[in-house]
Formats: sequence, C-alpha cells, structure tokens
Amino acid sequence: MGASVIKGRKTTQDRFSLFTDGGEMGSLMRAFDWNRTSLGDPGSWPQSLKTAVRIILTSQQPMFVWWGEDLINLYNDAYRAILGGKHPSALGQPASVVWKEIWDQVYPRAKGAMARNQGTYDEALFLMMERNGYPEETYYTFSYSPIPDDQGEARGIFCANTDETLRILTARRLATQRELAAHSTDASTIADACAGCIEALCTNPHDLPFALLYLKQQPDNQPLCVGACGANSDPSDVAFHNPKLWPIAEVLRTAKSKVIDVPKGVQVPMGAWERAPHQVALLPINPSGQVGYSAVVVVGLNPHCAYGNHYEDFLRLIAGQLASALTSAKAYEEERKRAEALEQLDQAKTTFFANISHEFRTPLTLMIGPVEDLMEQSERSGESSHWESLKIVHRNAIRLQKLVNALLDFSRIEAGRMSTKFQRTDLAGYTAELASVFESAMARAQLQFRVKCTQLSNLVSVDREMWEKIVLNLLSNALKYTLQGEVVVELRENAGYAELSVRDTGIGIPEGELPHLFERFHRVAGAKGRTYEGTGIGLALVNELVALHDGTVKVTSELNKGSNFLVSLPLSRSESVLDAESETAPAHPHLPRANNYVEEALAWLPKSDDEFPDAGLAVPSPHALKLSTGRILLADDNADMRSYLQRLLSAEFEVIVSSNGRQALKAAIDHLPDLVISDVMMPELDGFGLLRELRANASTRAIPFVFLSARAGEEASVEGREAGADDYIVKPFSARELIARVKGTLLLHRERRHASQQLNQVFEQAPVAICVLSPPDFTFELANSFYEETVGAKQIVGRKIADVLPGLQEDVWQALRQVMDRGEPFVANEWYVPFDSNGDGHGEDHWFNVVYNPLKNSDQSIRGLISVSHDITKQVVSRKELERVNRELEEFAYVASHDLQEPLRMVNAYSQLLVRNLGKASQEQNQKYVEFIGKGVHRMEQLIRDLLSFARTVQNEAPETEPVSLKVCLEKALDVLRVQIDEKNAHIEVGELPVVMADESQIPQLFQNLLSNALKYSKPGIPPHIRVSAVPQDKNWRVTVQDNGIGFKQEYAEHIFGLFKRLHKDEHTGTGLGLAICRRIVERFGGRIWAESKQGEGTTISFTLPGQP
Amino acid sequence: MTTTLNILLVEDNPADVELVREALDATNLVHVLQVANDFEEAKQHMDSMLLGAPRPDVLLMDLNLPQGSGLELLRLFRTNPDWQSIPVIVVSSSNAPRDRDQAARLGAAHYFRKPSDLKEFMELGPIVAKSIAKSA
Repeated sequence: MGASVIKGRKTTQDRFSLFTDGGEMGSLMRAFDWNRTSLGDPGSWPQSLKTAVRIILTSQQPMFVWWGEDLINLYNDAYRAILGGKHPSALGQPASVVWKEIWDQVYPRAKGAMARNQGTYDEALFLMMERNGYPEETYYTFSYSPIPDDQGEARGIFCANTDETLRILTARRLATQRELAAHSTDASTIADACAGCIEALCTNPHDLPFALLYLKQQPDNQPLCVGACGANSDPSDVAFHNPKLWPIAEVLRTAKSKVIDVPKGVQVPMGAWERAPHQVALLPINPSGQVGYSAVVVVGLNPHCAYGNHYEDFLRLIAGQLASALTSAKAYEEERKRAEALEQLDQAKTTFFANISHEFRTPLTLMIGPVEDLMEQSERSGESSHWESLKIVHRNAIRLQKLVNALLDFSRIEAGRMSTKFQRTDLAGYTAELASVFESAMARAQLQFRVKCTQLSNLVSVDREMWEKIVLNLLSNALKYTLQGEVVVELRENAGYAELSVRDTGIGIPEGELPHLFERFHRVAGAKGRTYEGTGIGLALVNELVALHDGTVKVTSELNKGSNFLVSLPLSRSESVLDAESETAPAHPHLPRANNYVEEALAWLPKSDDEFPDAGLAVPSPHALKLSTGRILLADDNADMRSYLQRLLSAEFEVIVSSNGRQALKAAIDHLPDLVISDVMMPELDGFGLLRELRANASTRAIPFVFLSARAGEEASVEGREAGADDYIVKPFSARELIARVKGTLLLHRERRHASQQLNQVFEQAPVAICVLSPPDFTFELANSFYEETVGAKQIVGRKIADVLPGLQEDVWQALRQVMDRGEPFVANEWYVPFDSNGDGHGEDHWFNVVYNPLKNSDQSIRGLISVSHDITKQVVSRKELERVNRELEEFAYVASHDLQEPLRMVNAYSQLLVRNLGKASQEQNQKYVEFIGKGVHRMEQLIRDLLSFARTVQNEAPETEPVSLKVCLEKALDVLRVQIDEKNAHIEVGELPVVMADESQIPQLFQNLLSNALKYSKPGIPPHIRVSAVPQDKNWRVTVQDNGIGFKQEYAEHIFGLFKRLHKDEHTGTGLGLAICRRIVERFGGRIWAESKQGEGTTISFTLPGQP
Repeated sequence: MTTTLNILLVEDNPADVELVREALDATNLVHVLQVANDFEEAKQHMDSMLLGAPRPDVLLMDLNLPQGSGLELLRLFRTNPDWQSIPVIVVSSSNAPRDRDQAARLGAAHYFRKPSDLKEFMELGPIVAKSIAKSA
C-alpha cells in the first residue's frame, strides 16, 4: 500500500465515509491501493465517481462502476456472484481484463454509451462467461449508463445487472417437457411412443445435445437403440449409438442414473453448441421390466452448464415423462391385442354356428323325412314288412338329432348365447310326468322304477325345456348303465334347495373318473353299459343347464353298486328373480321330444336289434323308362340325397343324377333336361358355378334351375335367386313340397316356352323378310328364314350387315342410321336395292317395300331396329317388261305408220298424175310415173312383210324347239337371194354347219336378213365375199356371217339391232327391221347376237343357238 | 317485166322432185328449176354463186336428206349472209310439230307438208309465187 499524499484535505475522512457500510466490497475498496491504478487516490476522485461508488455500495442489486480510460472495475457485494471465481481479483482491474471473454460484446456497448452519452439496455443477453473455469451459458439483463466527470465529460460506466440465466434455462426446459407430453399422448404402440419422445427431445439441442433411447423388450437380452437425436442420428451409425459404449446394463440393474465422461475417441453430436458434450447422463426408465420392457435414455450434457440441481431435476423429469409415455403405450398395445383376440374368438364362434346347421341338417333330413314318409305310407297301406327297419332308422335319426341339439345347446351356453326362459313351475308334478315317460322302458328293461316327487312349498322358477333335458338325460343314463335292479327318481325340498336325485343300482363309476364325469365328451373307459353308444355329452350338458339355474349337480357312486346323481337348485332364486312370465301354466313334457329319449333308450334293450342296420334306405330298382312329364337333372354330392330325390321324383319324372357340378354340366348339355335341381356345396363345381355355366351356354340357358340347400335364411335365398335360380328350396323339406315346387316350375317353364315357340313360328314362317339389327354395327340379332333366302346367306345371326351384304348402297345405310338416330320409322316403297343374292359376284336387281322400325328400351333409348321387307322384284320386273313392250309397240306403231305413209303417198300421187296425164303425156313420162308407182308399191310390200315378220317374233311364250339343220336353212335363204347374189357377183363361202335346237320356220329368215345386209352393204365395185361358219361354244353353237363390205363404226354395233335403225339411209333400201328381227329370232331360242365391224373393213355378225342336248 | 326466176330444190327422192316440178309448171311463173340431191350438191350450188352463178329467188328443201343433214342445210341457208334474204320453203313429209317448230325458228318462210293427194300437192305452186312476191 503506497502512502497517500496528504494534502491537508479530509482524505482519511473521505475515504472512510465513501466506503463505509459498503459490505465486503466497501472494506476491500478501502483497503485497496488505488494509486496503482489510473484512478489514483480516492480523495482525488471526481465527485461523480464518488457518488456512483456510493450508490453501488449501498445497493442490493448487482452493480458495478467502470471509470477512466481503462475502465477500472469497481463493484458491490451483490455483483460478487456474477464474477464467480474472478472475485476478488476483479476489483480495480480494467474491465477488459475482467471480462475479456465477453469483451467483444461488452466493450462496444460501453464505448457507445460513453461516446453518445446515452445509456444501453439489454435483456437476457446471451453471454458465454468464463468465471468458474469453463465457458458458461449465461443470460443477463443489464444497462450501461455513462457517468460524467465533474466537467461533464463521460468518464465512466455505471451498470446494474440482473441474472436471467435460470429463467431462460427453465423456460427452455419446460418447453421440452411440454413437447414430450404432446408427442407421446397419442402413441398407441411402444414404437410410436419412442419415436414421439425422441422427436420431442430433439427440440432442445441446448440442454440435450444428443439423446439415445435404448429399449430392452423382456425376452430379449440386448437393449436396442430405438431412437436418437442429435446430428447424424442414424441408428445404423454404429459409432455412438452402440449400446456397448454405455453402461446401460449397470444403470438398469442399479436403477440409478449415472453421469459419465464421454469415452475417449467417441464422436458425439454437438447439439446446439460449438463443442461436443464431454459428459453424458444415463437415466433408467422402468428398470424393473415388469411391464415387459425396460429402457434407458442416454443424454449428452450441455458443456456450458454445470450439472447442478436444476439440470439434474430437468433430466429426471424427462426420464419420468418417458417412462409414463412408454407405459401407457404398452398398456394400449396390450389392450388392443386382447381386443383383437376376443374379436377373433367371437368370429370363430359365429362361423361355427353358421356352419354347423348345414353339416348336421342334411343327414338328418335324409333320415327323418324319408322314414316318416315311409312309415306313413306303410301305415296307410297296412303293409308292415318294413316296419321294423323303419323303426330302427327312425330311432337312429332321432338320436342323432338329439345329439346335434345337445351339442348346439352346449355350444350356445358356452358362448353365452343360451337364452333361458324361466317360468314358475310345479317342479314335483313336472318332474313326475317327465319320469313317467320312462316307465315302460324301465319295465321293458326289467328294472324297478320308483318315482317319488314330493310337493315343494312353492313354485320353482325353472326353464322348463332345460329341466326336461336334465331329468331325461339323467334317466337315460340310469337306464343305460343299470343292467338289473332299480332306478329311483326323487324330488324333495331340503334346506332352501330343490333336490332331484336319480339313483340306480347300475355298474357305478370308478372313483378316479368322478371328477371328470361332467366334462364334455368324457366317457368312462371300459364302462360296461348296455351299449357303447354315447357321446359323453349328456352329463356335461346337465351340468351346464343346472349351472344356469344357479344350481349344482353332484354324483356319488360305487363300482358295481350304483350311482346317485343329485341336482340342487336354490329356491331363493325363485323368490328374488322376476320371471318373464307371471302366469303359471302347468308344465308338461314335450312328448315327441321326450319320447325320443325313450326310443333311444329302448334301443339298448336286448329285445331290439343289437346290430344297427347299415345304409338305411334301400334304393329301389330303377323304373323302366315310362312316359314322364319331364326330365329332371339332379346334382348333389351326397349319395343318400341323390337316392332319395331320385326315388321321390322318378314316380312322375325321368331323373338323371350327377354327383358334382362338372358332371351335372356335361349331363345337362348332353340330355337337355326340363329342370335342374342342384345342391349348393359340391366338389369340382359348386351350385352357383353350375348355374353360371348353364346360363352361359346357349343350349342350356333357358333350363329352369332350382337350388336345394341347407343354408337357410332370406339372404341365402335372395343370393340364389339373384344368381339366376328359378327357386330356392331349403333342407329339410317335405317331399310333398318339393314335388309341388318342381311341378310348378316345370309348368311355368313349359308355358313360357310354348308361348315363345309360337312366336318363333310366326316369325319364321312369315312370308316377308324380317330381321332385327342391333347397334353399333348393325349386327343381326334375329333373322327369319325368308330373310336369309332373300339375301342368299345363311347363319347370319351374330354377323354384321356390312359383312353379309357388302357393297350395300349408301342410301340403305343412311336410312338405317336415320332410324337409329331419330328413333322414327322409315318407309320406302319400290325401293331399288341391288345386291348379290346368288353369290356370282354381280349385284342383281331387287326392289322392295321396306319398313324399318326402331326398337326402344323402357327408357326410350334405342336398342336396335326391326326391318320388314317385301320383295317385290318380280312384280316390278314384270311391270317394267310390260312397260317396255308397250313402249316398243307404241314406237313400232308410230314408225310403222310413218314409214308406210311415204310409199303410199307416192303411189297415190303418181296414180293421180297418171290419170291426169293419160293420153296427154308422152310414153316416156307415163312410163316414169308407172315406175314410181311400182316402186312405191314394192316398198310398201317390203315394209308390211317385215312388219308381219317382226310381229311374229314378238311373242313371249317359250317356243317349242326341234332339231334344225342350219345347212338346210342357209340354202333356203340363198335361194331367195339368188338374184342379188348373181347381180353382185357375190361369193358365198359356207363352213360345216351344225344342227341346233330352234324353230325351222324362222331360221331361214335369220340367214336371209343377215346375207341380204351383207350383200347390200358391199363396197361399190368390189364383189362381196361372205363367209358363214360355226364353232361349238359350251352347249351352244356360235355362227358367224362375215363380209368384206363397207362396214360401220363399232360404236353403232348395238344401235343397228334397234327397231327401225338405219345407218346408211336411203342409199340402200332397207326397212330398218332386218337386224331387229334377227335379234328377236336368236333371243327367242336363248341365244345372243352381236356385231363387229370397222368402217371400211367389213362386218362380222355372230350369233349363238343351243346345240342338240 | 317478167324475169326468169331461179328456183333451187334440194330433194333426194326423184319421185318428189317430179311432183315439185309438176307443181311449179302448173303456175305461170317463168322459172328455171335446179335440183340438188343432197347436202353436198346444195353446197356446191351455193359456192358456184361466188363464181357468178345467179342467185336463186327461192329455195325449196326437204328436211329428210341423207345423213340427216336437212336441218343443217337450213341453218346454213339462213345464216349465210348471201343467202339469208332468199326465202326458204320447207317441203317435208313429216308433220311432227318438232320439225315445224325447228323450221320456223330457223326462219323458214313456209312449211309445206307433202300431201298424198296430187291436187293438194299442186298448192305448192301458189305458195312459192307468194313467197317470191313477198320478198321482192
């Protein structure tokens, strides 16, 4: 301590008063050698500094003052905590030294405050302080105020602080806890819970730079990392996830948390910090494993936070939350598994109940039904030969039925589905009646039978049917196992219980068996009863039924001595329970049911057959095929059912049987029955499959189909009908009902078919072409035979009209489309529709009267069209022919008269001239006139002759033909033309000419006309050369007449055969009829005639005539 | 002053030629009758006019010429500037309205149907005279 210069001021006093009552810091300041610092002696301090120091020393809030160039640090007691390890050396040190680790944040504020003469304020500023030997995460709220010196210049900083660290950290950690809660509440599996928790933990990389969750399921030995957070938290990343790195087992064992250093060389995530944690905490979760798992969470610790109470508490809370999350998830899981198991069990039970009826009912039907029928028949007819057998069968059937019912009862009780119907009953009387049912049987068995039922004090509330079963079962057993002696039935009241006792002197039950007696299906081994029959269910059922009455059943027995079964029902029950029925109708045994027990029992008595008949129903010899009213196909895989139905139905129908669906299908296609009766369940192809196949096959589609099934219920029936069955009969059925329904179905089907057949007949036989076309391609849906004949095609149903009638003209298509589009009919009369109807590749002429009518569905949409066409081709052709003939005749008449007029005129005029000039004119003149007259007459003669000749050829009747020698006819023609031939010096060349089928009166005319033309049209100056020859052509002869005349243009080749057509007019005489007549003649005999020529190069006329056959 | 008339007749039937001759002779027209038998000859007559042959004063023609050229000839007569002014009388055996119409349309002055009666045929004469008088 340096000596202070005493300057006569009251420094000592000042010093004292400045630092008085300043706590520890006041004392330290007093003792401090301020001269070592830039502040110098406190006596010389500016007043403002002194004031500031005074203020901080008297304050409870952490404060400091920095003064001078180097900001010397002065602080109060409260600030010591903030300094941590830096106290007390921080006193009098430059601030830059005191807070060098945060100086880069602090200094700018201080400097700024002083420079601007304006204070700063920071709230919860993050400052990484190193005051306790490690970089510490801290948060402070503080303000810097500039302190002026006495001259007014800012010379120092005044600061007040508040430590916010805890607040900040706590808030952060609370957030994490909230996250944990939120993420894990809805988890329904452990996996989900783990995932959710980890996700939550990941939200706080400050306090939890990384976390690893290890789960050890009970049976496993190894903990498994089920979640991790932190950078690169890939569970497959072995490095830091490896459970072996961490002392997990130890933590589980000790159930205590543990903090360890991070093992050397292990890279761990850094979380939010710039350096990795160097310590790790392991926290146990459900370490006991009682809930089937145990877990450990391994968390990296914040390197900037001491693992003090707060941090530790936080982690513990985390662990706790994790634990509860996992626990509730586990519980949820368990619950769900249980629920699933229960559901499955319930499902199994339901299925069982659904199916059991089917399995049992079929054989029952087969036995009970037929037998009862037979017995009835037997009774009626008085015939008794089969009676015994029938009884046996019946008995067995009933037994089986009883068994089934008992089993069903039992199952139902077990499933809790047994419904009880309690009624107040006079138990004594009822029991006595029940017992009496066995009287005769007991007598037959030569056993003493005593029934002692004493009236009870009150009516007892029992389910009567159940009581019946109890009593009768016990009695039945008694009878079965008692070979001699007695059976006693007693009912009495005893100390608030109704007791029923059935005692016998039977073979007894070994002691060891007693506990198991009431177990289902348990039978005492080797019991020497009347029979080995027995399923062992009776007693178990009794047990259950009694239990439903809140009673008990006990048994005492001694081998070879007898047994005593005791049923006790608490009477109190009857008093407390409100019964469904208040009426107390007397109880009577249900005799048919009761009798069943007796029947069964009787079966065991020696008098009845000991051997049980096998195959109860004998199949009678098949009837000879007789006139049946229908053929029925049966399909059922059960042999007995087949036999039964066959016998039942073959009285009136012809019956074909098959044992599975596939067989049935084949039989149906082969034999086309009138009705199919089918079971539903069959191998290879079941009933539904059979139905489907039958309906898909065109030949069997319409056969009525009846299902015969054990599956009862509306649903099954509806399903059957929806699949297309005509009827659905449930087993068991009565024979009468079956036959009635079969007949009914057959009748209905027959009616329908008949009506359909009638309609079909009309359709087929109509003398008009009818077809139905359906869209979109106008496919033939129906076509009657007339239609097919008309278009010359067969089997057109199913084909498109475009394929059957290719090249159909556009207006037909238009009409079809129009009908389809507009839904309106189309009518056409005398519609010309050429098409190829005889398959020769050429379209033939056809005319039709046609109506197309649209066919509509019920919703008015168009589903096709019906076409009705009347082929009127013949009428049209005849009419056209007639028209043509008329036209020709008209033309003929016109031209004929016109042509005749000319020569006539001439004749007339010249004869008049002649008359006038007679005597006056010269001889020459008169000669000329006479010549003209002659010419005119001659001409007329020619015309008339040719016209007559032509008229003769215009006959439509088919001519009678005879063999005609062409050679002879040609010669005749040559004779007539002899003059012209010589005149022209013509040369006629004649080849071999055959005999043809024609009329010999007309052929010479043919040759004459042709030769005459050839002569007429010869080239001037050149003698005509004419060749006549013939060659065979198929069944005809082709004759040619060739000349070397002037010829004509080939384009007129057809023209020249027309009536009155002349090419070279008036230079050459000719009537214009010659060739027309030739054509007529040739065509009459079925031939053709044509011309070939070239102008200037001669002409060849060819014609064909039929040869001799 | 009576000038000698030139009459051209186009007709292929010799009998009808004679009849026309008779009819014309029965009139008191001084005339020279020239006859063309067909279309070609008629054309030759027309051409010869260019060489100085006298123009006919009237044309008589049959429609029913070889190769159906009657109408064509008529058309030729009526469209040729030299011949247009000459009256044409069609002398035809046809009574078809179509023929009459055609002839009228083409500008024939008269359509004479050849009758079968001789006396009626003689009526051709005055018709010819009238038409010549008209055109003069």
